[in-house]
Amino acid sequence: MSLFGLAPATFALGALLLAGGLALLHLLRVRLRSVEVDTLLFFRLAGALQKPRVLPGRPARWFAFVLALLVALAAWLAMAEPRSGLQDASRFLVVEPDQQSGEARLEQVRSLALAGLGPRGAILAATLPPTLLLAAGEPANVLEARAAALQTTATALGERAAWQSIGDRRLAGDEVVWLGARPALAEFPVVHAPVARAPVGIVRGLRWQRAAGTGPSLLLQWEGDAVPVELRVGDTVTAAGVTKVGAGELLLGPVAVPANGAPLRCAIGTAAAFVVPWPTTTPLRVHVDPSLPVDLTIALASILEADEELVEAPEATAEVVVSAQDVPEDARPRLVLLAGHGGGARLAVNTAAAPVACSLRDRQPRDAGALPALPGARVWIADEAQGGALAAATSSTNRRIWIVDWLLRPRTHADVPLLLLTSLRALGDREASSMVALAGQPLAVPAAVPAALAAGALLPVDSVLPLHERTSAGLAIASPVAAISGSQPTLAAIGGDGSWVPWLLSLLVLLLAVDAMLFHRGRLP
Amino acid sequence: MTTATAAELFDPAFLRALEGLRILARSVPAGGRHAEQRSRARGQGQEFTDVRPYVAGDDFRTVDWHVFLRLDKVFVRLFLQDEDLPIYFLLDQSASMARGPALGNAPDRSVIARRAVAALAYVALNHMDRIAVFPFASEPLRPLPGTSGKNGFQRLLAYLAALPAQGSTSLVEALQQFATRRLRRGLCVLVTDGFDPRGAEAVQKAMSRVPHRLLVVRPVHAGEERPVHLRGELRAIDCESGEHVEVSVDDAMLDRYAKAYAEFAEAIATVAEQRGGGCLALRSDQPVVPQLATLFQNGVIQA
Repeated sequence: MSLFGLAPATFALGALLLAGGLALLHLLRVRLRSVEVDTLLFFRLAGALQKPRVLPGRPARWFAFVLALLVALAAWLAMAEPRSGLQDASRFLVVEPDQQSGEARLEQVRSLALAGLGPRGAILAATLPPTLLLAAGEPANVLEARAAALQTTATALGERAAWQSIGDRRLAGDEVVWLGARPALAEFPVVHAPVARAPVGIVRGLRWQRAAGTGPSLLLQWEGDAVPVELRVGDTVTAAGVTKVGAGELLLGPVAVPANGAPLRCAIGTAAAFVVPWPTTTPLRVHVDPSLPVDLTIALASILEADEELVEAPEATAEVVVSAQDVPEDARPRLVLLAGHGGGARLAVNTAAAPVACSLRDRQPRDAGALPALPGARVWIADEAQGGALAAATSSTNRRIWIVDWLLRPRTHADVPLLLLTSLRALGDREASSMVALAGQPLAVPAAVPAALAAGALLPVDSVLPLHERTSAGLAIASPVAAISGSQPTLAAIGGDGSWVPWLLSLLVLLLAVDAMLFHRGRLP
Repeated sequence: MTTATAAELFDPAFLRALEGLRILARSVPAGGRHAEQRSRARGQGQEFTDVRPYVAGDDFRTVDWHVFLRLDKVFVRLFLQDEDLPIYFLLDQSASMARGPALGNAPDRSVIARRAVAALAYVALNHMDRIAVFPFASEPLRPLPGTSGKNGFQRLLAYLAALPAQGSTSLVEALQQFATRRLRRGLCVLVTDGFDPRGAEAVQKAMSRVPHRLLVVRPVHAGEERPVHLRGELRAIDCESGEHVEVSVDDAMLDRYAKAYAEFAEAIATVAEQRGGGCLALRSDQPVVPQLATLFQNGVIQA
């Protein structure tokens, strides 16, 4: 038998207090009932000198004392909720409350609750004081209501209090799981199920991107369950979000790059945390050919001034050149602004996640199959009215982007700076160029997912995730939720079994009935 | 103090039930008035007992002329003298007699006692016997002097109805004082609960000194021999003296209480039997007359 509702020490202390209190009550002088009688003669003859109990002295009514003690102890024991089989393994969950990732975390907790808490298990929120979200024996739907009412945020004190409250009821072999974005406190070792973990999601892409005038943002491409994702610099959460179920993207940021270069940690759910290298901050040297029209020159100058990662440079030292004509023998990346072409409606193709998409996604995508073939190039924008004339294209061999002049008219259009900026950053590898796609085709996701990661290996916490140029990281994220549910099938169902409370209550009723019967028969005073 | 009207104490049905009962003395000492009890004295009774020679002064009406014709000697016939039986009621009117039962609504002992006195007195007065009532509590109360004749019954009723019940029980003193009275031998009817604090032994001794036949009538309440309603821790206060004892009443205590009560009742009854009258425990929750009737065998008490 084990006690479920009270700690053994608390129970023992309470039982001692009850016994002591009852003994004291039986030793104390009783409140006498004054009764007028016909004569004291027979009381005297019957030996009326048998006095009621007095203090100090021994209880005159041992049987009454024992019966009252049994009743009190039975009630106290029922309050302690003794159960048999409580030594079986149980699971304790301590959840870090997080409003931003609440749904995802609640989903995890719900899964664990349904997997079973064992006879003594419980789910606590690391608030101060700890909030009980679900106890063994309670229906699982209580969890949602209590979690919804939880408004407080986690604190180290709350977590410590939660661990300490668990410590009283924890037995060897129990499992303690910490569900939080940050690691559990070091002084409270957390037991995890040492089993293989089923992957619940894969990072298909992880790359930096930057909008003009802002810090870098981390683009996460995710395939799997909805999980919370956080970016932390030290203990400060710089960005957070929740991924969507299935394939989806999550843009985290912009993030301010710290001057001291402190590492940026990315935590995906409760399973993976790793360090993300900061993006390259070397300015891209851009040369603007003076032969360009004046208005375009002004526009480019303003772009170079606004984006701190772009600086104007002489042609000799430039990494990217902007000119009106292509120079095939120059291998450097080049933005060619062609003049005098076009005149039809502008058209956008698959702009998902491309920086330029914000200005062009209201256009209808069209079939680009009629465009003339350009070896090694990818059509970006086409002109339908010109019968398939090339409007803009990228070349995978010579690192070129052509933009026809009519796309830049009028010069004051909001799309123009973005289009130019996007082109420059793409040519300078300051942007992920993999988002550029063929017209009408779905976004091509890099399939460079390492086999070992895809097989389900968990990325060690605080490992460094290498972000290679123009490549996407492949990372399998596993969840302890599925792991525990699959690895601990012997855990008892929620609530445990063998509760003694009904039997104790029956005993209590029986004792009270005996008490009443004895009282009516005059066996008890 | 408890008083009651005569109508409350007695009703016509009560009196009718007493018709036909009689207290018959085994012998009546001489010196009484002419009545219906046979005495040892020779006189003008109805029952022939002997003859003796005529002496001067004898009543000629008693001369047995048949004997004179046969023997030529004058004899007179002798008859037993019919006299009255003096009946003395020693009535306890202490405070304990004024207490009703702990449970139920039966009348108190005083009412029962006075009904018993009235009933027995009615029987006596119906047969020309003489009664007197000596009530007592802590000390003797004003007695009802000797009364005879049916007319005396109304006086008795008024007297009984006005009797208060108060004070402590001084049964021993009352018996001792009664024993010292120079009264014609008769029947003493002691109506009391017997709760004298000096105990049964003192009461026994005092009863044995009463120079009359002694009939004891004890008004009792149902269950008083084992007061189960007193279970628990209590301060028992004597209703007469105000003294108290602290007592823990449980089953064992009740057993001892019942045993003491039974021994007390037995002691009283034993003395009453020895004194030739008997003892009757008169239950307050039952009609008085049927219980009194058990004292009468074929309608007669042999006193």
